[in-house]
Amino acid sequence: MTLSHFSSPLLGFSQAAGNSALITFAIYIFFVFVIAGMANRLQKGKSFVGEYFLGSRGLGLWAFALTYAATAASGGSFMGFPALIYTHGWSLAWWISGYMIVPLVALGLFAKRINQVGRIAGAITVPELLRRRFGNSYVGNAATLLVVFFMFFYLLAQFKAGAEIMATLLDGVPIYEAATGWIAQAKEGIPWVGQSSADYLLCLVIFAVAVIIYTAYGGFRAVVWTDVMQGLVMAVGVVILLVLTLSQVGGLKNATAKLAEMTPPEFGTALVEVSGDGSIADLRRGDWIATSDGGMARLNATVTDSKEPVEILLLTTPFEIESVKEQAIPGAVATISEREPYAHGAGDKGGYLRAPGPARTQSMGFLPVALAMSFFVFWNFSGAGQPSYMVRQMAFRDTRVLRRSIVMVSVFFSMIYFPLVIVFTSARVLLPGMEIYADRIMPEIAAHVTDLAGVPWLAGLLVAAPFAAVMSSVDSFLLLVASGVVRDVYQESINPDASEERMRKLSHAVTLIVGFLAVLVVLNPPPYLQTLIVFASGGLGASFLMPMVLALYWPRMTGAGAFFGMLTGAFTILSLYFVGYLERGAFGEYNLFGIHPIVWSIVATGVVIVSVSLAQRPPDKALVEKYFGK
Amino acid sequence: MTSITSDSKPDEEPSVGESLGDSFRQARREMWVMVAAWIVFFTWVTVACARSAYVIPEGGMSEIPTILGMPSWVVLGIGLPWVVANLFIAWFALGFMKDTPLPDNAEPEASTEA
Repeated sequence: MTLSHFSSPLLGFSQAAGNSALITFAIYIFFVFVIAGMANRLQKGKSFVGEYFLGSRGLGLWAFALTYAATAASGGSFMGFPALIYTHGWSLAWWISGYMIVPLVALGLFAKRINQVGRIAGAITVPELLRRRFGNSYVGNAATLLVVFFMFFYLLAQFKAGAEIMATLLDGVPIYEAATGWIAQAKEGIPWVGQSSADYLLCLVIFAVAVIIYTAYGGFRAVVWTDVMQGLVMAVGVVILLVLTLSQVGGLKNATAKLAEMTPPEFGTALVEVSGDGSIADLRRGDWIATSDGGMARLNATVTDSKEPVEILLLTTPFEIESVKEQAIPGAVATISEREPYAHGAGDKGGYLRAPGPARTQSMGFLPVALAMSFFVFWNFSGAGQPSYMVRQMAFRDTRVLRRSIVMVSVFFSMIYFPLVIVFTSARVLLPGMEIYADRIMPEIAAHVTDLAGVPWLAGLLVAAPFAAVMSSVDSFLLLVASGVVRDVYQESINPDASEERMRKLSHAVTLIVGFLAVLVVLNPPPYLQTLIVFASGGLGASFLMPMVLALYWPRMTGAGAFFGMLTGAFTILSLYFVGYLERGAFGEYNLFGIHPIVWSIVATGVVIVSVSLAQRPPDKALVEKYFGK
Repeated sequence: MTSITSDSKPDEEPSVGESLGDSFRQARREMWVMVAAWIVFFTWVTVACARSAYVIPEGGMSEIPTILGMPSWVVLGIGLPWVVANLFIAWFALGFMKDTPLPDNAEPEASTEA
């Protein structure tokens, strides 16, 4: 018997769950394409650009509320956020708490006015709205550039998340394994493509082709309708996951009692030896190995040589060590050569139950007070400043729809975010050592709890929730970038008299090309999914929040104020990320005085807009009358 | 070709304020209520959590006070304001916000039920 016979499944589902997940996914994709087909039929007989990019401004309650909520709940909500909860504990409840008021701030701040101004201006995109509000093409061009730039980063992160979820979903399915083997051979020697792993490559291509085709074919209305379906899948998925997880962990009280005993793990290196029938070559990343001092370590890399130290994760809590002992690879022993305790919270019992939360690299802990306050600002105002949300606010039918949607979105966010904190603090107790795969904790816990509950087929539905979240964001962002190129660049600046047919063909082509480019870049993805998402949303919020708020509510604002304001927001956030890179040697933000860059950007942008506008003559009276008058 | 300052008219004096429309004034009133609500909830969460989320009980974390099985700072500093925020949002949207007729599109686009 070789070691591989004892290896616990690295990640992913059992065969039964994997097959059911595949069936769930196939059914799901089938419905997505049916919806895209229906949306495409509706495009006939309408103004193409208005219908394709804005659904003819006719969204009702369910469509508007759920497309808004589903777009907000992106891959970060179901991949990066759970990873952070798992890694840092209950302090994430404070980190995410700004969402309690997001529906009011985001929709209350913009929705009514942006819809009014959008209709008066006849604008279909956010840059177009700004251009017409100020009668200034510089403003529109700057906005288009910023949307395309930051949104492309967002797309990359979402494509990566989609491929990773799918890889977990399909792990162990025979046809998938066979295809992976074939691709592994086929990609050898191809520059850039050859560097990505076969399973990731296959999943990325399947995911991307599905999303790009239905988005290009169905346009905004297809995106909105699929968002409705995806929003419902998310809400139902989280509720089921909450019930199953609490049942498996023995209730919240028990989970809290266990967390009170828990100390953070340690990273480090060890020499690994194997005796008996086994071989070093059979060891895989993720395998559990007993240590020579009686502890338990998890391999954080593949072992290549018994004389070379390999990266490991060491458990430090006694009940966790006991719980994984039966998963240890027989005959394998790790002798620890180096230990790296957490910079904050090492040996601190119960750190997961309070702020700032344990942190591997931050000596102040994960969430000092100033940073917690920053995130309350961030979620509300960065969220409100996203062009992908703004464009939806231009699409609802009437203000009655808006008012009821605000309530529906607040219920939706409450059903998603707080329960996720409960689920993934409990996941710490159920699944030790997931720090090495933190981004994959969501599908892993789904597989774990459904397996234990004897309903492995349900894992397919639960994993469909994050998958839906990613898809609903990717399609929206894809369309937003395409609209920026087609409407704001081509039609506005190159060919104002373009025919409907030409715009139709160009819209489809640009959606396909943008999607293809994003896939090409993300073949070898950057490692920091959540950091990338925070960067992109921060950049968009910094560039658009204050310019749009003041454009809608301050008649005295000028085009130059908007132009320099947007550039200031983008420059501030880019500078603070650049400083962050210099400081830590990796991609990440620099929190000046412990405060997130978005806060500095908002302040700087506001100051610049007001100063520049007041330094100029007031805007054209006719323009003010048009957008603010009776 | 426009310039960056193309919307400013040097020959005209400001006339902003006198001719603001009713729907704009109503939207602005709603915005100020929203801003006030944000400040209230931000203050509530920050003060409640900053005071209690970092505290280590004298007997160690095994004696951390809990409500409904969760640490009490989470319930009082986040769960409770979250519930109140939902109630406030329902009042704001269904009771305070006013319906406003939206202007016709500047471009002809058929409206359809979604």
